Amino acid sequence: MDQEKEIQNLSSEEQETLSEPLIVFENVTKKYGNNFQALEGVNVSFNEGEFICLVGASGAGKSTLLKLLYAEDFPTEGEVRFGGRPTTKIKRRLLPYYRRNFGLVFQDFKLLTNKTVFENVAFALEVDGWTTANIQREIPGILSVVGLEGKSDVYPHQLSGGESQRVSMARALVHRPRVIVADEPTGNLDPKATADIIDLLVKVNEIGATVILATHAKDVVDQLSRRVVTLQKGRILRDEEQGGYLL
Amino acid sequence: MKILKIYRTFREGLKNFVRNGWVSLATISVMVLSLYIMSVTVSLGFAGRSALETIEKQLNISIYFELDVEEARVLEIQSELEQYQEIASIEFVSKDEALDRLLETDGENEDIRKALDEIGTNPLWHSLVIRAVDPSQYESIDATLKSSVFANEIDSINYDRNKAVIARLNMFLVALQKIGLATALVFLMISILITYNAVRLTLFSQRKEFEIMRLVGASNLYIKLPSIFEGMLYGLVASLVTLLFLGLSGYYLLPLTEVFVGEKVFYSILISYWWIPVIALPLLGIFLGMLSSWIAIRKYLKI
Repeated sequence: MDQEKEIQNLSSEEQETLSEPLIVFENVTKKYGNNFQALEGVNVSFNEGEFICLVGASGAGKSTLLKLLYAEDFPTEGEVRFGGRPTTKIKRRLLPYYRRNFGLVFQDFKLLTNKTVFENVAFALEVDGWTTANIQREIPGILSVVGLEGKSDVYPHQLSGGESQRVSMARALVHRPRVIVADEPTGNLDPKATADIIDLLVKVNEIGATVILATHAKDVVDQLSRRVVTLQKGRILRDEEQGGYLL
Repeated sequence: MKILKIYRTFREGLKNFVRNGWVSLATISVMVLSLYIMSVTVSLGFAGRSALETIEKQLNISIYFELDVEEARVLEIQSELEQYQEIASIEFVSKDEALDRLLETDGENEDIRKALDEIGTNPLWHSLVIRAVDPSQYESIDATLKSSVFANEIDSINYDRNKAVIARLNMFLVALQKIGLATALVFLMISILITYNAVRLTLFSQRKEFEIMRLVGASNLYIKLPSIFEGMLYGLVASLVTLLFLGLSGYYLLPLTEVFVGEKVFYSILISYWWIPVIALPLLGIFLGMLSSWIAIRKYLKI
């Protein structure tokens, strides 16, 4: 019982301190080893429902910042808070439940090659304990949202890059997470596929999900004209409400 | 929901098990070998003990009295001995009876016939056949008889000969069990290592799956369970195969034991105790498999 309550606290909105934004990075420094500093004194916060572009050259610390958010890693100094709760305070065994607040999309798709499109998406619901009947009901809908109707039984190697990324989008969206974290989702895609993915992210954001998009695609950022946070060598260089891609 | 998750993780474990193919086969073979050696050792020890007990039950001490001791005196000694608690029964065998028995069993033997004819009179002794309540008490009974007031009326006590045979048999059994258990232990260690290795291979080939499972928020247990189930499956299948082999061995070897022991001792053991290996082996196998995969997971699966 106790565990179930704790799990609920990790995602329930009522429990949160409403006095601060959904996501807060406070004086966050992340060091790897002794000499490499990926992030240095980062102070930034993201509101619920925002669409944020995280830009910067390779190695600027974008991925590190995102990893600290979904608790794949933890800050060396300072703290990352989600809904007012520092990630370091979450018990290790409860981390998986915390991660279900996020839908993650990566440059390399991270699809299971021995599973079909349907199974790849279903996987995210299976681990969440959904019944088979509910999974069967839910997936066709999400596949049509990402434009993959009729591709249910296809294996990832039979898909184009754009289609693969849409599968991984479907997987990230299907359990309706509060935050979509997209780390260079268009890095491997052609302009048309890129536009499709960005459109999807915008749509999801309109429904209410917070979207954090890390990218170094200039035209994408310029076109979106949303909030842009620019990282350089582990520090925040700029934070503009309606920015463009400047380095 | 819990049952659903167990079903799903079990299904994944089963898939790993099937996909591993040759590795699974090798793992199971070594495990079968270990379990078989262990089972045979344990049952041999068990059967040996039962055989020994049967022999001990037939054991007795015969006191042969000097030829000049009268039947009445022997009966007097018998009633005196009957008061000892350690003694279960005493049978008086008169010299005539002893002769009858000898003729009955060895009457056909030419040499004995000739010898008896030569002597002309009954050359045998009056004797008392003593059975103890507990076989271990023969030694003390033997000692008591030798130091009793009628010790000088006794010609011989035949216990010493039996004692040597039983002691040798016992030593043989103990040695057999020690060697068998040591061998079984070595093989059990090997089978744990082999199973551990099989699970490790699975863990290695599924690094990507584990990463993705974590990304979509699978709980640690959900990630670990398939490998645990995989290990358990190795153990379960191995123990079932072992049971099959044990059954076959029993079927073909039991008739041979009859030749040696001359009685169907082992059949009765089999009939009363067959369920012990049938329950214990699968449990042991599953436990071994679980243990192995648990070690592999602890070492190689970083969550």
